[in-house]
Amino acid sequence: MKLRIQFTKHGSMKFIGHLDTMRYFQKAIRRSGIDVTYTGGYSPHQVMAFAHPLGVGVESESEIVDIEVNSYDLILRDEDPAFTGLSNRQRLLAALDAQMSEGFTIRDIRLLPDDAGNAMASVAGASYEIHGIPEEMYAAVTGAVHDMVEATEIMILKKTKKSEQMTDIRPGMYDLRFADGILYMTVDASSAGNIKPDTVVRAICDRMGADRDLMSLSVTRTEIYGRDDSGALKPLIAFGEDF
Amino acid sequence: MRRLALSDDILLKIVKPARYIGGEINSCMKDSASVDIRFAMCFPDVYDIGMCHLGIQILYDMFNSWDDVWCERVYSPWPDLDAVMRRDGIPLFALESQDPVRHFDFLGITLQYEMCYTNILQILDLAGIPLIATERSDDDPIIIGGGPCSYNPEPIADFFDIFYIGEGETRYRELLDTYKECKAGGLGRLEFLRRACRIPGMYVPQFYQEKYNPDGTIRERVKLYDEAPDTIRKEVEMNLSDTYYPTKPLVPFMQTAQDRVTLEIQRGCIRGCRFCQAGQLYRPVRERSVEYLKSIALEMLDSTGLEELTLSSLSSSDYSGLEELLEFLIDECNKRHVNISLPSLRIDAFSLDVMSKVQDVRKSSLTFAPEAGTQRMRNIINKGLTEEVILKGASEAFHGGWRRVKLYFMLGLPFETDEDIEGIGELCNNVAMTFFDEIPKEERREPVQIVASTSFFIPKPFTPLQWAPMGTREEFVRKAHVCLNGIHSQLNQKRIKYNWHDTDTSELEGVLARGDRRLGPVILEVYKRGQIYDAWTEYFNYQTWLDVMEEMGIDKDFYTTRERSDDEIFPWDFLDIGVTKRFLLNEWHNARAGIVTPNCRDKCSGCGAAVFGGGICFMNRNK
Repeated sequence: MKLRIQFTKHGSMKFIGHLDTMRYFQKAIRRSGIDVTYTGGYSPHQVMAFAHPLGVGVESESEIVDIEVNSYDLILRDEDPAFTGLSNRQRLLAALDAQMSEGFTIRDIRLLPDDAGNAMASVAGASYEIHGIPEEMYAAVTGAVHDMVEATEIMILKKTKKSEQMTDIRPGMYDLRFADGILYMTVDASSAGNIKPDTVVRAICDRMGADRDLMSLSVTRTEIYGRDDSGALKPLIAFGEDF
Repeated sequence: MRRLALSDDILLKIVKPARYIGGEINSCMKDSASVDIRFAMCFPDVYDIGMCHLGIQILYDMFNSWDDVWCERVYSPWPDLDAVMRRDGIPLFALESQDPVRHFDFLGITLQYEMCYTNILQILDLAGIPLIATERSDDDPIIIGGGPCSYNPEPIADFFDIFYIGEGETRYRELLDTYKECKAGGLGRLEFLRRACRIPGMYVPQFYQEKYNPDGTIRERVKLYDEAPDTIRKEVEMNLSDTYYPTKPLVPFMQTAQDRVTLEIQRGCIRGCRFCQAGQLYRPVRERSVEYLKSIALEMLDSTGLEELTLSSLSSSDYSGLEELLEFLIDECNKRHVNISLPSLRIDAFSLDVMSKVQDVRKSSLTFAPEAGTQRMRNIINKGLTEEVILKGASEAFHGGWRRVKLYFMLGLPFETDEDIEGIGELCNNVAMTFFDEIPKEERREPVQIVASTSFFIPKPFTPLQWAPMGTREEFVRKAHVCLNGIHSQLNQKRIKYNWHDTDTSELEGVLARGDRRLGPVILEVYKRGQIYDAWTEYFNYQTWLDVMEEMGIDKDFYTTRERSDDEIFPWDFLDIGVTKRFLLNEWHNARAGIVTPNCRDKCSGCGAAVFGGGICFMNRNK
């Protein structure tokens, strides 16, 4: 059985990198007693897949990790009496949430249908909120955001380890809004066309003639999406059901 | 949410910010207003290394089990953050509360290796604490050192208020109570230190002075405070099955040097290898009971979720309950999908059988530590491992499917000849020969691989070889080449790979290990010239050390290559580890004569550790 876990990552936990977050969850799952499935061999590991790596320094309201379990039992420990009377879903959620350090919370756990795609391949988009834009820049940001939404093409220089390439980010910019000092965006997060929130911020700064590196912004991922049968963005957690 | 001491901007610009944020699973948060004593426990190296240290975890757990104490952790900021903290004037902080260390009552620093000495000064300096103990005021924390290097604390005596000699489980409560009395009575730093030095195990260096002979050796130690004890006996925890153990060890977020549950099965070693400091310092051998170990092992696995468990001891094969313990652990670890790692096991049929159950034979390697290439040399160092035993172990291992063998040796041992060094190549070749002799051709698809590693012998205090001269850098380089040529002249040389340890680091370690108080100003000046992280080759700069020693008129050879006379007073002689100097001297003479001393289980040699009234000294022996 495949379970989809939705968690938040806040505060100082934003400094925990993706690989360390994966290791952190492996240990938390062991501590919780969740009956996770292991691969065979001399160094067995849990069957686990994270939907999308979160950059260091970015907080999140909605991270997704899928795990495979053998049963809904909590194994190898005495069950917490507080769990009696809870549904399977509530019990696993409570057991895992009890293992979280400050900054991590388990929001939801759902059962995935057998035909659900793997977490990473099904990611289509992600939403972000950016806080901390200086008030004196509000007007300029409003203008730049308007320009970008109106533009048919936004070429930026994408640097990888091997090459530099001009890419158009406009098609992958699904939504961009600036309201009450907060910048909201929904962008492509698929493996083929992933757009980092900072890339959009830099494009806005370029338009305003501002220096991104002089601003200290806080970035929060608010949702992570797949696509439903009609092709519309749908939060990844909503692909699972209660159990 | 906790407030961090470092801003987001800083944390995002330095490498591995997870080193500095605290908040790990099983870290201890308390209300600072509700405790009487704030204790900062420091490992003076980077977090990734320091977090793995069991001793600190034991003390952290012990201190925090007391309601009136909050113990937090401190590690050395990596050079990138070090520069930022100096630039911005950010004081060194403890990980849990993120509060400046300067406002703590105690700063405890563990001394695991000599090459961390400049990092101690980095810690004090970044914390804003005067580097010299006698320049500190009542507002500064008490700086207390402990760990293996506190058995010759003299080179760093200037920087510490107290050294706690021995195992931390026994006397900290008394020390902290004394501190509380002094604090409540407004008695001040000096009065506290005067009272502290009367607690067993506490050495307050500022109450003593070294006086030297014209030839530079020590003439005598003079007491500057009459009530200070003449000698300080190490503290030992005699009941290791009913004491503090961190059953909820800290679980770092980031990957550290050893991400695993550590099960310390015993302290001490029955073997008495003459080069080994730990083998003398931690006498007598004391075992934890199998029942106790079973219970804490499960607690630790459940409270951490770590995926590996390791046994810790100086010689696990000598633990009397090993079979029963391993059978239990293998079973429980299998249930939990946890790996077991088994270091320091003697290679024999039993250990090979156990290892084949817990690791992939084809991928893992076996380790032997003959330490020297010939039997003559092994007798000198009292390493009771014969070539016959090694070859028998290797043969069994090859039949069991192992193909990789690691062999550890030392170069520069006392009375060593070139033949002894060439013996290393011969021994390696014989291991390879065993493979070709015993394993039929059709099973040799994966070839045998032998890795020989040599380190340079560094004489350490409280060992029988503390009188021995250490080799020079030039000799070490020559000996490494003799060893290399010895290997190259072997029939199976293509199957043998050879590594050797850096000579500069070894030489400096040799100076500091048997140093005296005259090295304090050297360490201070080297630090002032910007040197930290000497244990890291990328930051180690031996030239700075050589320059400072030369400018200060310190002759490094006095500490390293000089052979000590039998009656020389050593800087560490005022410490009493139970094992007597007379016993060590006798062992030094036995080394010279190539006479082997039996291990503690076979026969008591009267080393003196029986004074502690327990452990192996009072157990039934085989014969």
